[in-house]
Amino acid sequence: MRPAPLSEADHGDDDDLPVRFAKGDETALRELYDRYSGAVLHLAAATVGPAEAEDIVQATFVAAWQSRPSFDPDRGSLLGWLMTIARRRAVDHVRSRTRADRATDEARKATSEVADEAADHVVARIVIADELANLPLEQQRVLQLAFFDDLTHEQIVAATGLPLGTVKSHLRRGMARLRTRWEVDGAPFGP
Amino acid sequence: MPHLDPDQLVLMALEGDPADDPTAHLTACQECSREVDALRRVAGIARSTVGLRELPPAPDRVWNRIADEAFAPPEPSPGRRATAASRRRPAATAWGRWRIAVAAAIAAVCAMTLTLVFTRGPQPPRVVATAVLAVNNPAAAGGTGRAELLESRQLRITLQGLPAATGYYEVWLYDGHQRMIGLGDAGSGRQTVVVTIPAAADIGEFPIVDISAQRLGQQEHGQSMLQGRFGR
Ligand SMILES: [Zn+2]
Repeated sequence: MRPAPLSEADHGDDDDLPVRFAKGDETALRELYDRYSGAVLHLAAATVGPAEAEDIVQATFVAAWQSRPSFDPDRGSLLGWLMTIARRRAVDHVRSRTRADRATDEARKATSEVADEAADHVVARIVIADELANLPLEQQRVLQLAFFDDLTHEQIVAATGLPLGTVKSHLRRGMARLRTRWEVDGAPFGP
Repeated sequence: MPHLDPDQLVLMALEGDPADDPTAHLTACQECSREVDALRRVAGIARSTVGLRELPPAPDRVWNRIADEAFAPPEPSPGRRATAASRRRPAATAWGRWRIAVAAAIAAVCAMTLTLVFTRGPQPPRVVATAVLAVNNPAAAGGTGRAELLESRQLRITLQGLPAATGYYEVWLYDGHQRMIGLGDAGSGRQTVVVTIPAAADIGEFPIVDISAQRLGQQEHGQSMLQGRFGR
């Protein structure tokens, strides 16, 4: 059984959204919003707090639309790129807020470091959740049993009836994909 | 001494069972133990994603504001801007919409002001309240200013003695806690400008006027230079 991924639609390798978005197709922005505004809102709320989170979502999607020529599919996913924009907006927002509050330099630095860390952590979780949702179904199921049901590989064999070698290979390949995605999209990259 | 195979590395990361590493290779091999650590971090993050699997999209009202801004018709030419554009969106209520419209206009026509110079009108609007703007930052030393709230829901800002702007100065309303509303460009900080207060903003709720130094293209609040508060 497959959980709802971050997006409604299946967005595997044949996904044409990045191309349509880069071309300036307005319906692509709406699709991007349907897929990822929940993730952006979650990141924003965790970083700037719920009261101003929607403003960050708005600024993020508008900035994404305006800077769409800078999106390079070879450097990461559309979600990762969007997260980079949202992350920067949210952290800048926290910084300007502490500036306006006449915070001391130390307090200001501490606040912006906390915001940085909070944002990094949320981005990592979001991109890994997305990658997990995009894995081949059987592989995804095996990893979910390991992560969420805390089963050992032997218990997964018993629960699924899959051969031991298959379970091990799903764990190995699935973990490799999550790790790669985390390394590509989990760390902020430039615009 | 052979390294652990990839399956063993993954099992060590996920289950940490010493039986998967009978020769205690990990205690001796940095390379393998770094590998396991990295996999453990990935697994740790993955385990914490349970609640993220079904994040609902942000509300439609946010989408409406995005669509308004992103798909807005091209801005009118600079010469028409101060009149046509300011009449065109008199009741913009979402302050985010304002800020971006303002920032975009500034980027396009930095030298132009969005403001109407006060002395132009035949009937000057009445001043409802005045706030003195005081230095809020050592970088603004020697600067002063005055904010006058006009009955037309506008602020007339007069600035003096601020250092020459590297970008531009901007006028903000601030609630004293977390929220700020960007009202518009105050140019080089040496002239009198009039900016409009969005219909949704209440001066009682946002009693503080903040003048910030902004970099070109910067949409968020920059460096606070002067601040003043309207009395109750
Ligand atoms: Zn080794």
